[in-house]
Amino acid sequence: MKLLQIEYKKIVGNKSFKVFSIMFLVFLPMIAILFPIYWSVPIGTERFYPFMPTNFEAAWYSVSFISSWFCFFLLSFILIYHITNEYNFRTVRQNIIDGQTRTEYLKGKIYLMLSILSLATIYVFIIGLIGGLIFSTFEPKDAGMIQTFLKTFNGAETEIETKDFGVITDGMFNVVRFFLQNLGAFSLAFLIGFLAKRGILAILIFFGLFLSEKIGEIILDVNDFGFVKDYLPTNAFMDVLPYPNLIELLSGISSPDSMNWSAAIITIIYSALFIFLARMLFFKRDIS
Amino acid sequence: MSVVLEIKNLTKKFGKFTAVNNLSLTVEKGNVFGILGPNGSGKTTTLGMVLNVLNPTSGSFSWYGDPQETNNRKKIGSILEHPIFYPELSGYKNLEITSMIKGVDKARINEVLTRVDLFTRRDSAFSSYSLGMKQRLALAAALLSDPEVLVLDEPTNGLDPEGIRQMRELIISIAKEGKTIIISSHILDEIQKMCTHYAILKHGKLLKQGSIEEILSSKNQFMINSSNNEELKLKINQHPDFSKIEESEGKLKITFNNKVNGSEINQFLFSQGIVLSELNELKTSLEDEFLEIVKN
Repeated sequence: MKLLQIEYKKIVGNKSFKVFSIMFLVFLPMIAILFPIYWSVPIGTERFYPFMPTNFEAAWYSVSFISSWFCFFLLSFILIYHITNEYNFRTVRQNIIDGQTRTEYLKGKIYLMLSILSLATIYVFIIGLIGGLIFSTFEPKDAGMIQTFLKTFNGAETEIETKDFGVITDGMFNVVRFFLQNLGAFSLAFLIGFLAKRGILAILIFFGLFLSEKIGEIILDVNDFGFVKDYLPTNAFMDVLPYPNLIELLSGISSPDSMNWSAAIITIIYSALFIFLARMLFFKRDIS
Repeated sequence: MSVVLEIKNLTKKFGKFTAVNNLSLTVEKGNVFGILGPNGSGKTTTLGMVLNVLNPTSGSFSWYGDPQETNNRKKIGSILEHPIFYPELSGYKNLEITSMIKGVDKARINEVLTRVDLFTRRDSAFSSYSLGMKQRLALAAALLSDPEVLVLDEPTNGLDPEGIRQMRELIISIAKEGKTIIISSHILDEIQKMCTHYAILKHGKLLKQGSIEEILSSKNQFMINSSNNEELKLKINQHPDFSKIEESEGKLKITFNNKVNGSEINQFLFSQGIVLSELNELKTSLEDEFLEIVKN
C-alpha cells in the first residue's frame, strides 16, 4: 500500500496524467450518453441512438467496447509516460539510490497499473449502467421494422429474432471482458515502457506492434495459417472483446458474442509473460 | 574501527571497455574518504555499483559487513553530480516521496528544508529552482534520514564559488559529527581540504590509497636561491637527507628524504660558505603527489 502511495504522489502532479485521464473521464460519457441524447434517428415507431443500443445487454457491450478504445489511446499513454518519465528524469536511479529495492520499485508500478485499470473498469460500469438505464426500452423490438431498416443497408432480406429480457445484469459481464482485454494491453505497454525508456519511442513501438501483428495476420491468412493468429497477443486481446456487428448492436436485436474463454486465457498468459519479461529486463540492466 | 564499506575485486565492463578493474577498497567509520581520478577513471561507476544502480560484472561489496543490500541504502544519504527530482513536483512533495522510500517521519522534511535554506521556496516546482537550489534540495534529501554515511559524487561540480564554499563547509560540519563520507572528485584541492583518506583511480584501477596526512608529511621540499646557484647545487648534494634537485624559474627546488627544518638547512649551507637570498618551505600538495602517481 505504501508503494502505491508513492506512485500516486509521483503521478498526481504529472501533466500528461491530468490531460489523458480528464480526456478519458469526459469523452466516455460524451460518446455514450450525451451524443445519443442529442442525436437520435427515428425510424418508424422506433428510435435509434448512435453508439447506444436500446437493449440493456447490448448496451453493456457497446459501452465496454467504446471504452476499450479510449483505454488503448488514453490510459495506456498514462502508463507508458509514467514508466518512461522515470527514465527520462532519471528518478528511477534516484529511487533505487534512496533505498528502494528493484522489486519494490517494480511492484509499485504494477500496483499502479492495476489501480488505473480497476478504476477505469468501475467508471465503465457506472457509465454503462447510466447509459443502459437511459436508453433501454426493456421490450423486444418490432422485427418487421428492423428488417426494413437493415434492408436499406444490406439490400437483402435478413432473418431476425428479436429479444430483450429486460434484465440489467444480462451482459454486465462485458465489463469484466473490458478489464481482461486492457490487462493485456496494459501489460504490453508496461513491458514496452521498460524496454524503450523513451515515451514517444514506446508509444510508436506499442502501436507499431498492433499494426505489424495485423499485417502478419493477413499474411498468415493468405498462406492458410490463419489458425496461428488466435495465439498472437494483440489478436487474443481483441478477441476478448471483439468488434460487434454494429448494425445488430445498434438495432438491439441480438445479443453480442459470448465470452471467448480461450482468448481470455491466452490474454492472461501473455499478461503474466509481459510483466515477467519487464521484471527480467529491469533486473538485468544497469540503471543509468 | 568498524568497517562501513568493503569493496572486493569489483569489476565493471561495458562491452569490451573495462570501466572498473578489480578494485578493492575499505572505508572505515568516521573516514572522509576521497576517491580521486581524472575524468573517466571509473569513480562514478564505482559509486553506481555500491549504490546498486549498476550491476557489477564480477566482485562484491558490502555495507556494514552485510552483503545483503536491503535497507542499507536507507541509511545512506547521497548527492550526485546532477540533482535528480521530479521536475513537475514541488521541493516539498519531492522530499515527501524520498521520505516515504526511506521510511522517515514527514516532520523531518521541514527541518531539512530549513537547514538548507529552502523552506520559503518549498512549494515551488523543482524545475523552477536554480542549480544552487537544486543542489541544496539534493543535500536536504540526503540529510532526510539522518544518514550514517554520505556518498557524494562530484558534489561541487557546476556550482559557483559561493556554492562550492557552502557545500564544503556543510560537508566538513557533517564530518565533524562523526559521520562517514565517501566523496568522489577530480578537484584535488577539494579533497585535500576535506578528506582524511584517499584512493586514486586511473583507467578503473586503484593506483594508491592511504591517508592524506601521510601524503602531506611524506616529503620535504624547499625553494632556495642564492647569488651562486652552481656552487649551491654542489654543496646541497652533501646534505645527509638530500634527495633531489630541480630548477624552476632560476630558483632551486630541493627535496629531502626526511623531515628537516629551514634553519637547519640555512645553517648547513652557511657552514659551507653559501649565503641564501631566499628560503621557502614548500607544502607538498596532493596535486603534486597525484600528478606523480598518475604519471608513472
